[in-house]
Amino acid sequence: MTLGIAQLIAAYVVLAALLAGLNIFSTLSWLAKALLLIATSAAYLVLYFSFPPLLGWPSGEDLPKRFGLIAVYVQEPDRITGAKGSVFFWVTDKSSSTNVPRAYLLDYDPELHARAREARAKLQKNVPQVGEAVSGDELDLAKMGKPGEERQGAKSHKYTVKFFDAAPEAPPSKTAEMPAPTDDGAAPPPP
Amino acid sequence: MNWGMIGIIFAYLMLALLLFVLLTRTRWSWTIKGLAIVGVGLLMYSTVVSYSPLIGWPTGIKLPKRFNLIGIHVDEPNKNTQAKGTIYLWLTDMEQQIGKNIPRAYKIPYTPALHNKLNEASKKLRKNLPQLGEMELVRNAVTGRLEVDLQFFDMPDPLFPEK
Repeated sequence: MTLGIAQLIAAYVVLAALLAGLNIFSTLSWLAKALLLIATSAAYLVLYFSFPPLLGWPSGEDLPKRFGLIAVYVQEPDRITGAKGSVFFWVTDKSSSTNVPRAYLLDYDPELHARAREARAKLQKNVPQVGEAVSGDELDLAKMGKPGEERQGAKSHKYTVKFFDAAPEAPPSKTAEMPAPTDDGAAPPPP
Repeated sequence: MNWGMIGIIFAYLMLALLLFVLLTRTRWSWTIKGLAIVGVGLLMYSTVVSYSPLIGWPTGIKLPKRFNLIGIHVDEPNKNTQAKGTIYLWLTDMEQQIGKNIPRAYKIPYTPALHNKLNEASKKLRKNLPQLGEMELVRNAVTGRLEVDLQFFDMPDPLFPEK
């Protein structure tokens, strides 16, 4: 259970508690109390059906520190419409026990696009890609060698994503149990 | 703003209305009323903050009828854990405007037939052949349940205007 779901359940409980308190302790007429009850029940139903439309869309949160890259989708900036562009990643978190992929959205950056394009090319050649997202200070090389006034802001807090070929999976241990021989005495198939 | 956000805002308004009625129409002490104000305020704030962790995960709602397939991830069934398996798809809806199509993640129950079709589609994606998917619900002859069936085609070439 994620924190988000727990908070939403808490919202339902608070709503029910407030309604119970009003019905028992307020000076409202029974008609008003009944209308409040109906309106609160409608709010429950509306909340219940409101969450599915929110799911599935990419998140603006930071990428996991290490992740397995599944797919990349890029929307380049468009000068005509003024769209700034975005880079979307679909990844699995290497630090999490769950294998459920999550979609992320990052602002378009030509460097990021180039790296993502290379990673996608490797994925197409069946080379699994691991990504690392690092947030840290980077030196803006374009401002090197310039006078002091122009160098202000040369160190920018930049969020960088890099990709590596995933390490090949280790072969199964030789000490693992071997399957029993088949009834006809033939050798068992290799694991 | 989509219907999801509108629904959540409606629920918040209901909460605010209930709090308002509690403050004006009950004989509770102001200590309790003050605690109710703080409690509801904290709850609204924490719900807004907790909204982010819900976003990005695949949804189980119905797939679009026609879509552009971007990514596939399959969790096969596991006899040891008794997991039934899940298929995750990342795609854009063909009904969305070009340039505004944002990929969305979906999950559907695993079936071997779907897995085979997705394997073929995946091979074509790796060869840089965009895949157009079509979804329809078909009734399983054995179980009688409606199941998702997908068909994949190579995306047709775009039509360019004549010179």
